[in-house]
Amino acid sequence: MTIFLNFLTIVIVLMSAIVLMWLASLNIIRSKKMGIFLPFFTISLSYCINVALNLYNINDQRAWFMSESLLAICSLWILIILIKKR
Amino acid sequence: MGILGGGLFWLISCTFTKNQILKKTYHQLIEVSDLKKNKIDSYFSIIDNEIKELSNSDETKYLLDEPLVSSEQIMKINVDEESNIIIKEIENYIKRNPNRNFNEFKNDPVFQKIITGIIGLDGYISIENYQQQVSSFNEGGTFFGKNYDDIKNSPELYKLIIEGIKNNQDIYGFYNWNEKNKNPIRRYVRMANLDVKTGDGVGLAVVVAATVDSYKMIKEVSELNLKFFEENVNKKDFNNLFLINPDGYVVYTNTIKEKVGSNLNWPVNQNWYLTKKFIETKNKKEIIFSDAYIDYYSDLYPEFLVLSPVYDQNKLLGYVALIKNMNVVFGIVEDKESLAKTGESYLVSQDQKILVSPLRNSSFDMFVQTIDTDNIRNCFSGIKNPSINILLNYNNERTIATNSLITGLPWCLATEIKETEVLDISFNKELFASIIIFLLFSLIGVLVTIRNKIRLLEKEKIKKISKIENFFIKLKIGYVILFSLIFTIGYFFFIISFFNDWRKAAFYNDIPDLVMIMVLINLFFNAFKFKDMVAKKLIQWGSILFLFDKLTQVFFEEYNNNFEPFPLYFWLLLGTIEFVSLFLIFYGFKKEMKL
Repeated sequence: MTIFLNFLTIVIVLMSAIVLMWLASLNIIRSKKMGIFLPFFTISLSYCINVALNLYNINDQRAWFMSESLLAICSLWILIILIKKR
Repeated sequence: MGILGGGLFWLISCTFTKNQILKKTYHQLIEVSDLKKNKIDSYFSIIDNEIKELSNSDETKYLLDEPLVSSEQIMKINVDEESNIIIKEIENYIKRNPNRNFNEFKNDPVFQKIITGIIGLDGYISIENYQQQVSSFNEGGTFFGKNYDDIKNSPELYKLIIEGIKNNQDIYGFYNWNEKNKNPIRRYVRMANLDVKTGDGVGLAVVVAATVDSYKMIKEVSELNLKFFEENVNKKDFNNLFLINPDGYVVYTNTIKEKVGSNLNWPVNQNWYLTKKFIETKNKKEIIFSDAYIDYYSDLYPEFLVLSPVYDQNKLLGYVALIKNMNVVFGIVEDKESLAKTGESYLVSQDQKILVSPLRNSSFDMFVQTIDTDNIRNCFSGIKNPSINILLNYNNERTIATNSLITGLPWCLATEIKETEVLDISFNKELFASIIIFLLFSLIGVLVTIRNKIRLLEKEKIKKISKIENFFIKLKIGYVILFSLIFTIGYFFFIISFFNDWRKAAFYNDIPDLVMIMVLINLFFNAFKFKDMVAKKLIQWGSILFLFDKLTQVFFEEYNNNFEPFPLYFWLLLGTIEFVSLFLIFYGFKKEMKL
């Protein structure tokens, strides 16, 4: 059961990350504005790193801290873009 | 909907699962208690085998079968050792009372008690005025409790004393004591001058004398035999080993050498714990395990004694006595594993005195403090509740309690855990489960609402700006940042209050989540200023969902840090929520950016 759940989590996270990455890349190409969609691309990349860490069973706190921090920084980036747009 | 679902689940689960959890803990506690009891039992069965092995060994039988003879050498060691203790005791007593004169000491009952002790079977102690001894001696006064004529009957003793007095030296020596119409008795005397003087300046001497014949030992113990016993003692970690013949004479001991040759039946040995157990074994004619005991006040740790009779073809040769320390029993009882935070085990003797202290409270005093609780009383009465036992402990706290009686010994092993701890853990688990249910219901509710709102907005194309929305539109970014900062810090300490000290929080996991919470609050309030209503709703719902996810994650991470890893399916649920919210934010962002 644990192995199945772990596998399911990894699949869901990986699939969602790939979809997000694909959408971000598509919008970068279409709009030709890289800076705007880059935070979403970075977020999906951070999730992919998370999956890799999980697969190799790396429980290093610093690695998790880095990937989680990346998510927070990207969200801040999105917020700044939205504020600046107005 | 979420609150209703979560709250209902919490209420139902709290009511129905409380008893189940208490029962489960009680059964786990019984398992721990039985495991410890079995360990102690098997330890004693090992000792039982050890003593059987020793009592059946040829070396033991050989030593106990040897005839005993009187020995001047052994007797000297015995008397010198015991007199050294008495001399020190007398000196200390005189030092403590420096102003008392000789006559006052003679009439002091405490002092009389010290000097009228017995050495061996019939040896005695006497104390005399050393300087005046010669005159009283010459005048026919008393000496050693005998008169001058008696002393004259023993020329050897007379000579020894005169020489000692002349040279002002301590006297050691053997002499024949002659009494009228009786055979001469071989005796040993020791006369020692004390270093201290009484208040009136009188120098004192302690005289100790005993009969040689009363001490008996084996003529010769072979090296091979000695090696066998020494190896046994070292390998099997005995504190001491005694071989005793059927009459009570100590034939062999590995540490207290001065006891070899003496007899356990002598009045002087009556208070010795070994003597009491020797008499018991003699009557029962079987192996006996003693209670834990401390022989001397100076001993720090208790010991216990195992005694076994030694037979050779139904002929009683003597007894073997093993003395062991309690280290192994201490280790087993004090083992904290599977006892959670407030769980503890302790060993109590039949008179309710503590043998091994409760491990959570070091102020308990072994052999002095008693524990009179229902659990201990039930233990010695053989009462064990099969379903659940919630009793008051020694601190009058409600505990889930169980007990086990140690086989063959009057010892009770009590194992207890505080009820509050058990219920606290279950409260936490149920609270978290309720949060998850709450989140699940909320997620469904939010998704349904989002779908309806977006449809409505796109259909009607009406801009509805309420007063509250107007307030948020005009709200300055600085205020929002300040609010989010205060909220985040407050939330962190609120969560920590459920667990341990805030300094022990899982900072590595918490810090990025807390930053994320701050950003999401700002994102939510900033969305009020969007002109595109669909983008506004998408980003607001996305940030709210993400906020829920992060708020819950802080909970979970602290739980992981303090207890055990949270079940994986909760993380799966959170991961899904996280991605739903990310996609909502993404589409809202795209719409607002008009791309």
